[in-house]
Amino acid sequence: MFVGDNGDSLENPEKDNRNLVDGSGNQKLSRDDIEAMKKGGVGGHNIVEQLIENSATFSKKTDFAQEKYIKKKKKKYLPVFTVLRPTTRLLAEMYFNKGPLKICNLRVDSLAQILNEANVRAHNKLIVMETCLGLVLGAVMERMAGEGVIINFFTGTAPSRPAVDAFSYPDSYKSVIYDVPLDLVHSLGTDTDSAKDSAVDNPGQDSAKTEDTSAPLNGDTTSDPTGDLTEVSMVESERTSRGEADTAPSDGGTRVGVSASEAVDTDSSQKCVTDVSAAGEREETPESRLVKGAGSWKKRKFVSEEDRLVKRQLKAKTLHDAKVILAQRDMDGLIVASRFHPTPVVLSLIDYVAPSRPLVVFCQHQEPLLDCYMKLKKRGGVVLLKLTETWLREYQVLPSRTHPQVNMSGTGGYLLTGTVVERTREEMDKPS
Amino acid sequence: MKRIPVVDTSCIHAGTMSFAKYKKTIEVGDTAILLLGYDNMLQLMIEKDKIYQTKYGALRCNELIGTRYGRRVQCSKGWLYVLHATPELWTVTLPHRTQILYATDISMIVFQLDLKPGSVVIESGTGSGSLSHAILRSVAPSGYLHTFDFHAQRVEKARQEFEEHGLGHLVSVAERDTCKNGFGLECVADAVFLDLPGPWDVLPFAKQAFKAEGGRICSFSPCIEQVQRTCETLEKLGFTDIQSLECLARTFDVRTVNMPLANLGGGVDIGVEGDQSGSLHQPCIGHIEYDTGGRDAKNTKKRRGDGDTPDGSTEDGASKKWSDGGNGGDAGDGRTKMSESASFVFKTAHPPVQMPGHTGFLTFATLYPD
Ligand SMILES: C[S@@+](CC[C@H](N)C(=O)[O-])C[C@H]1O[C@@H](n2cnc3c(N)ncnc32)[C@H](O)[C@@H]1O
Repeated sequence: MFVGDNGDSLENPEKDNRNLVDGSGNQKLSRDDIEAMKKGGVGGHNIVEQLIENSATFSKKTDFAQEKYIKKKKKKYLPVFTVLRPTTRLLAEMYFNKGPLKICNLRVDSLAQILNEANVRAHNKLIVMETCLGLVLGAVMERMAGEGVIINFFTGTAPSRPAVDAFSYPDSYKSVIYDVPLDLVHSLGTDTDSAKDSAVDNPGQDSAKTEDTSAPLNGDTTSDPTGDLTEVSMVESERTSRGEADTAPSDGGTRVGVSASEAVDTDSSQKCVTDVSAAGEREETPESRLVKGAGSWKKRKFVSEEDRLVKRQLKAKTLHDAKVILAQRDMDGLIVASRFHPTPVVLSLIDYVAPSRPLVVFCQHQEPLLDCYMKLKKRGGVVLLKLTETWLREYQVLPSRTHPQVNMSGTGGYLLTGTVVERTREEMDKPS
Repeated sequence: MKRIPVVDTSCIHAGTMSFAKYKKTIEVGDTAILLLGYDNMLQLMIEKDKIYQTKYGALRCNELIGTRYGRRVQCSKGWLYVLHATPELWTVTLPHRTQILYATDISMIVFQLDLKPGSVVIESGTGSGSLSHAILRSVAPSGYLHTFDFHAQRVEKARQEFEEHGLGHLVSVAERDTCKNGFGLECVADAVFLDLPGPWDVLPFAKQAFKAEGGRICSFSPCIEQVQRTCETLEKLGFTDIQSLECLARTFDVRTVNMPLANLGGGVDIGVEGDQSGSLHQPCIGHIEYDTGGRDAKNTKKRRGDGDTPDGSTEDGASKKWSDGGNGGDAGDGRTKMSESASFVFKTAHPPVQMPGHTGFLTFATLYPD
């Protein structure tokens, strides 16, 4: 610990800690006494008062130390909860403190840079590829507030993003998302003929029109005879059905039933589930509670079959729409923040970005970004390429005791930013 | 970096471009960003029949109008790019009237103030409007910014810029001494930002300005004494979660370094397959280049001769030869004897030799509803 932090001599020169002896004898109340009080229903405030009264050293402490003592005891005996609306700031902090590796070491300041450098705002058409539990996607959604387009490339068989669920956004925020499996990237260009045809009447040209293209995502679900899906977007229905499998381990029959219906992608969905429960957020979302409470297993199995059909249709529709939008090669930015080597991802997705639009690549390590930097230089068509890292230092601010916090985070990841521009003919002709 | 000639505002078609929404093509009235080289940018207004003189020769607006942003434009003595304005590019090209905030602090401020579409923000002082543009981008299309400065010309200039940038409907710029008179606003704000010499005087007014459900506040101050006073006042007024921090960006220089191998005498045999001692000499994150008098050697020599740095490194842009970080490049003829002039070549992200060490402290706090 930091020594000299008490600042005793500064604040109250006549009191210092020369006579303070460290030892358990200073407090006359024993742990049992306190436990007895707790069991007897004595309130937290009362306990703290008793502790002060029975402290042999309290009156000898400096004002500051007394205050600190009270604060410490209060913290222990009267826990205060404040219910906060989830914001990107709170969730980013929480995830980073809980397990930075699960979000690729993405510290708050790095996330803040990503959002600004990528010029994220309402009406944008962004490509996002992340494996940070949906934290980046969720942050982008907050800044877009349901206006614009997000083409979200996900890995595995279904998107897993507990952080997005933790935001509990309205459906309108989710309706801008087009989920596309990353492993389809290389086949995206193949049926552009049909994409081009429909681009005429169905373009993601501007947000007024894209609202139309995204509407069916939710609208189509009205054809679901059970009506269970009307409130839930495609993504959620996938997630929640898996949520059932995950959260009903005691109910053996249910579990088998559900997972059999998903037998095809057990492998990766299993992986998603572990990811999700590790973050421990999903259980709290109202949607999952809704499904958990819904009906018997038989009914659920029925729903899940209908569900799968609708799901498949929605998936196909989303994919088609996403292809149409991407085919215009007119996206307003690309954000990559994943545990995968960024270079191949960036090189395949950058072609869809319009000239004069930002590119932001986050990586927990520096070397992959170095590689990405080199390859982009070689490719051409990106200017203002910059490899950066932010340094974050917090301060303790107290009268006469102000200093940087004793501990600080050593790394919050690295960022490669740039602006996509038109490539010259020579750049296009270069062998890759 | 300054706007080249003074703009005659009479020919501006207000609202054609916007910092709040992208468009494809360059039009009259747009504020565009010219990129002339790395970190060499300037902003200019696109006007009919206007010709700007750049270091690469004349730039005719008429030839730009109707063409796409992000296009490479050929001038008589070189080429440049015309980019769509963004708050980030504006920050590095805007005409300074005051000290301004830069991208790193700005990102942190917008993030920590929980800004999003719909947020209502109060800012004082407006200064050169560097932060204001980023705020407006993030709160558009449904939010609002009330910004205050007690300097009449700054107020006027900021107002004009917001108008030209298609942001006028999202902001009011008022001339007012906020330390003395506050904002004259009550129960409207989700967030308050202060960049003033004495922010503590404004805090009581700021408290009144928050919506009933509370919100976030931030104060930027260069000196720790200011921070101290601000924090004390914040606490007295009932703000919580008070947090002071500094955030700095390090920009790395991506370069190729040629590090000569020392002559250990006797010529070490490096990297013979299966040879334990040899494989230890095999570079893991770069490769060995030999000065054998061939073409490679000439390149190496030339690089060193021209050497932009004495440590034998070249800026990446200039380097012709590069490997896939590890095993590419030299085919690794492990049996070659290391000669005197061999060097270890690797890519590195070089930390800045000098960088800004301090901009200011950011103090954040939350006001919860009672
Ligand atoms: C450093 S500048 C702000 C720069 C701004 N954040 C930016 O990024 O461009 C500070 C501004 O506060 C204004 N100012 C100082 N004291 C003020 C007061 N009491 N009331 C209103 N404005 C004040 C000054 O005129 C100056 O323009």
